[in-house]
Amino acid sequence: MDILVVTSPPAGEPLRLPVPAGELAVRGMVELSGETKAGTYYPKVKVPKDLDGFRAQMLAFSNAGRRDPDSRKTHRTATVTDLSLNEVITKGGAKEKVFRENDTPPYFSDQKSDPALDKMAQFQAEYNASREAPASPDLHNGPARFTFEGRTASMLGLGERSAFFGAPSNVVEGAAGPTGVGSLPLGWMTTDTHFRPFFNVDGSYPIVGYGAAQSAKGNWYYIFVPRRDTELPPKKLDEVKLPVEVFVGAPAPEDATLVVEPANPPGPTTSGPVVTPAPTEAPAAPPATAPPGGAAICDGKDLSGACAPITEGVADVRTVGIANDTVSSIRVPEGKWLNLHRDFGFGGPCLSFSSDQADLSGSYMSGRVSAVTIGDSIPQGCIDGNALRLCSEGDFTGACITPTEDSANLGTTELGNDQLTSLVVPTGKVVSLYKDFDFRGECQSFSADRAHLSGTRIGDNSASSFTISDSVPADCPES
Amino acid sequence: MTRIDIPALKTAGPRAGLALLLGGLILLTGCSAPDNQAGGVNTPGGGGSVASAASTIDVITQVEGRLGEMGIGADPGSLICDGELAVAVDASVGCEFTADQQPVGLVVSVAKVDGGEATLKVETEARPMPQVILENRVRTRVEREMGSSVEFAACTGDLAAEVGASAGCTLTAAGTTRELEVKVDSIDGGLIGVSIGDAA
Repeated sequence: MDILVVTSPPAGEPLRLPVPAGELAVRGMVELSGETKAGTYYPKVKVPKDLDGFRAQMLAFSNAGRRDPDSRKTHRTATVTDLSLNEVITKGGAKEKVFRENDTPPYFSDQKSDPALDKMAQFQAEYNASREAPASPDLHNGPARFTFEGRTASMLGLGERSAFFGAPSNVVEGAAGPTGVGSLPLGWMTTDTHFRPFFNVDGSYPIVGYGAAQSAKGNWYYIFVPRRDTELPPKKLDEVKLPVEVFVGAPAPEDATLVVEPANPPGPTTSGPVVTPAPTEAPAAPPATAPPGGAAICDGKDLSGACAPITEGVADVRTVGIANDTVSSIRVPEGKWLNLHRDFGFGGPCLSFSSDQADLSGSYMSGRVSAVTIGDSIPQGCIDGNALRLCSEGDFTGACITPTEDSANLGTTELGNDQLTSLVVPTGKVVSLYKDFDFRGECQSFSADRAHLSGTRIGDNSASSFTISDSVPADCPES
Repeated sequence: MTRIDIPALKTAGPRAGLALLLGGLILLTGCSAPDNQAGGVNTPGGGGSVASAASTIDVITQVEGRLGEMGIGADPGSLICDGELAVAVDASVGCEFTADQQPVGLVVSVAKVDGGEATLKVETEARPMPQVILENRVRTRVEREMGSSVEFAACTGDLAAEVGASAGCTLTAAGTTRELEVKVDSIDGGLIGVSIGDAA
């Protein structure tokens, strides 16, 4: 027998029930949309005066939905109503994995906001508002050219916007508008297409950025950009869609005039060539050499040229005065690891160093560093850039071994025979690869990292034995 | 327009004294300052006037730090000039800086001289893309599209800063080679817009 107990508040007192978090968030968005300011990237559009607060409400709404195991069912969506399943059938009939983080509700942890993702989302929202974009796939297209804070780039694609703002590369984007206030993120969460990042379908999405902007006609535009934690497989060279655009150099200035006071001491005469005297005050630029102590990256060898101290993660080296892809030497304090990332936003291959590197030219990271982190150990996703590493896949991935001595038969290692595709060579060392066991057959030496052995004389998936030494053996040249 | 505050003229410290002394020297020696430089200089802070200032403008000191506010992203410390800029209308000086390593020309000319202030006109000029920069840009751009490394990138030479100019590039990654054509689509001041496509 079931016993049903019904209670009521004391007579005269109103019934008080907690307002659902999602509803509270919508109320917050409506309230915060009442006060606006000029956009950051397109000043003619409006954005909530408390933009961070508005984003926080969007995030609160989506996290409330993530916590609710019946969120999809409650909104009577056509697909994916049971998130307790390991696989769900999505629109079109495909089976897709649900990346649950807990076995019982709430299945997913709260998403966290990411400043760089917020920026790229806000940019696109403002761009869409600036052109009163109609609702269409075109909402995902950015401008072919955009200049901001002295930098010009194509912002057409998501990858380009991600690179510009130093955001992670493995992101997706949801766009909405023209619409009203408070209709998003619900609109995305209840579709049969855009719901995946909110419920970890096809991957985990731990961080997200939100953007919101109002057009001159009063329409609202929204963007969300979550980062997919499950890496997408890299494309092959012949799979890259071309053409793509690149902008190099610097545009004509928007306002070409500048008022100055010629206050520097005059030279002896104004006729004839004038030697520029040393400036009386240092220009606003990084020091010419590495500052004393602490970690630093420099664009010249031996810690010369433009240098920047590194005290925390730098998602875009340009923000600390170092041109992209120019880091040539680094200083690493004792007990620390400096991690060099190939892509902005800490993306791409990452090599870590626990000691100074006066010349990175032998490293894969030479001419490639876009972001830097520092810590007490090698972070996940990075590898020791100064330890021998032999891997079965390109970019130092796949099955990897970190041997400390020569091997006459790679078939006895976890790497296997004829499996070597990429290798990290320690600074000052030479790795000689042999096509046959027992250091026989064709041989090629490497004094620098190789992210892929295709195109080399020894070739990909061909090494059977190797030696490591201090110099190039006479019978095993580099080329 | 924005104005630069010159601390030497705004404070009564030793540097102000030096500026006054040097300005005085110009007048005393009859140095070749333009006529319109003679007389007082109004300080930005409204602190009255002092004797005439300089006959030249050190562009590196005065302009480099302000390129950013003009929408020009220069690599720090990269600006070099042929010399100083004479404080005379229509005087100009040629300079060059790099933006993410790409050379960019900068022509700074004097549009107006008014009392102690000079109004400068700043123009950027496109420069050819050196082969090494071109190879690096093509490689990194395609790497971003791929999500993995390009092992080899070689282009046929520098890319001229003219619309329609082109260069061939060969990329190799994981055993696959692709022949590309890099073509200049647009020039805007010192900004070159290029498209990277497949070679015909």
